Amino acid sequence: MRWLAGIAFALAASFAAEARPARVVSINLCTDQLAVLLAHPNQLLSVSWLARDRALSPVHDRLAGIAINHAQVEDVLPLRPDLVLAGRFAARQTQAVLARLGFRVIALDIPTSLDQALAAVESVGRALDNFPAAEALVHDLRARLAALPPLPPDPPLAAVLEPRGVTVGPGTLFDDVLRRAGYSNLAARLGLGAYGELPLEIVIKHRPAALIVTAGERPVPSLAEAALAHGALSGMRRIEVPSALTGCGGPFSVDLAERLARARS
Amino acid sequence: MRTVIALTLVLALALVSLLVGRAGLPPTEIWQGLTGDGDMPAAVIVRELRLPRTILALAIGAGLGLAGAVLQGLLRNPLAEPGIVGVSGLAALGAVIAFYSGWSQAFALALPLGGMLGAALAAILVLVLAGRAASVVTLILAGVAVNSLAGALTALALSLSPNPFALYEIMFWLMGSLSDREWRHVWLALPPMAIGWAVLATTRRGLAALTLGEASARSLGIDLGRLKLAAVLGTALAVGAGVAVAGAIGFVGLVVPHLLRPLVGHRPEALLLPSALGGALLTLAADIAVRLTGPGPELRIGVLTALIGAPFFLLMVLRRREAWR
Repeated sequence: MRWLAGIAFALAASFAAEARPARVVSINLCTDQLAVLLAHPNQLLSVSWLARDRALSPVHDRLAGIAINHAQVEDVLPLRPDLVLAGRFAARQTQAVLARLGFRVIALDIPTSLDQALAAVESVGRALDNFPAAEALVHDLRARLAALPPLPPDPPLAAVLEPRGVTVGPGTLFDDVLRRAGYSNLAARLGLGAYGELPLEIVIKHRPAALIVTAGERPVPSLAEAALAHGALSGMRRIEVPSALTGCGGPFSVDLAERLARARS
Repeated sequence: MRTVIALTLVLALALVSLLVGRAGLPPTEIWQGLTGDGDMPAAVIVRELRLPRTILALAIGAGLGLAGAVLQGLLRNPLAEPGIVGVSGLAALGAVIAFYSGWSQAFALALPLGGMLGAALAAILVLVLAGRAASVVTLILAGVAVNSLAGALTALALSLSPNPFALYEIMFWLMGSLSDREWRHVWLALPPMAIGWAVLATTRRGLAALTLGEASARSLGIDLGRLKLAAVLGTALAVGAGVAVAGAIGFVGLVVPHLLRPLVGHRPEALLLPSALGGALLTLAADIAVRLTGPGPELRIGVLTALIGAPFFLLMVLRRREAWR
């Protein structure tokens, strides 16, 4: 068995080193989005099931002709990919098995700043042998970031509240976006970590100038999302941002920054 | 006199509960929040977060204590309790179906109705079983089965939901929580709960007569069918509506009547009001305690009541082991 995997690995490696990958499978929501944007025609065979969810994925309507996988080894094998795109911390078992079977797996880190998010665009472009397109996209995104309104001398305090009472603190992409959009983050002021719990009482006590809630279009409710509409928050200025823009780093993070900057002024 | 003392205690604890929460406000600010301008953070925290929570804790606890006392008197079984016999479990299932299907978004009353239907179903099941002269053991085993089934179906319904957050909410429904409840929940649940208390209170005379046995109760003019109907209906309203907005909180209906029974001379009809007040006190005290947990997400209130109640239950089983042989 081991020699078979060895041969497969050698074959896959030699192909990968030379040619443009022709059969790409993405098993992670975030690599799904970048791959959909940067793949050559017919290059991307399959994306994860989450890419279809309009509440999570800004590319949910651009998946025509692309199959859906559930990030399971058995979903990936029949597609005989020559490149598998994955997230560093998701579906790790699947990645490990695929790598052992000789598939070429590229795992992307979770970006913790806008710069890293743009670097991720470039690395996926490179992996898909479409670097010029990625470079052009990043160039355009940098121009849009540069065109954001100037930072105010005294940035308004904003509290980000996500379902399940979670907020985003320093060391997250969202926190970086928030600062570039000209806000000061309540989570940072409270000394919370990257993904801290933010009780409603604390939000209200600090009177943020804006309450930023992530909202997704979902067919049925959950208590976690219903809590974001709590009556106690009704007196606050509320900025709703689509949850599809906040989950992953990439071009959509720039959309998020633009929306937040616009809502501030 | 005792009732006055108990009511004073309830009121005092309610005031204490307004002082306790994550924001850690000093009492002076709480007072200003209660009396002053409604836009201040303290006012919003006290009026919109803590007050509805306190009211729900009291009402839900009162319903659990009262329903426990009535069920125990009716079945002449000290272990009959909304949680143990499966009333809370099926109520949670009914509420889960009403909420995650999206029905309660279209029609707000669907939520308490779902909880009440589930609770009524379980209560009827218990009475049908008990009606055939079931032993204590039969009743408890039936409760185990109903609870397992309700728990499994709740987990199934949440797993099948297309909303990815649903699955994380199983703890809310199985263990209960009063965290971040709002006035909307009070207005949805309080009216049916209050009707439920009134219905349960009508069982007083019947429960008193029943201590002499069913035949004697009948000869005293007690309509046993009606008595049972009142117990089922009252339990469904008082417990089902509460579970629909706060999940299943266990063991309150077991511990409270048991502790208070000696104080009222073991007369089931005299146990109702004390059990309601005791249930309110215990539930609010437990809720105050979970507010003090953290940092991190609050402990579920049902975890605490189970930590108190389950050893209690075991103790009762050990004491009565001989009698049930």
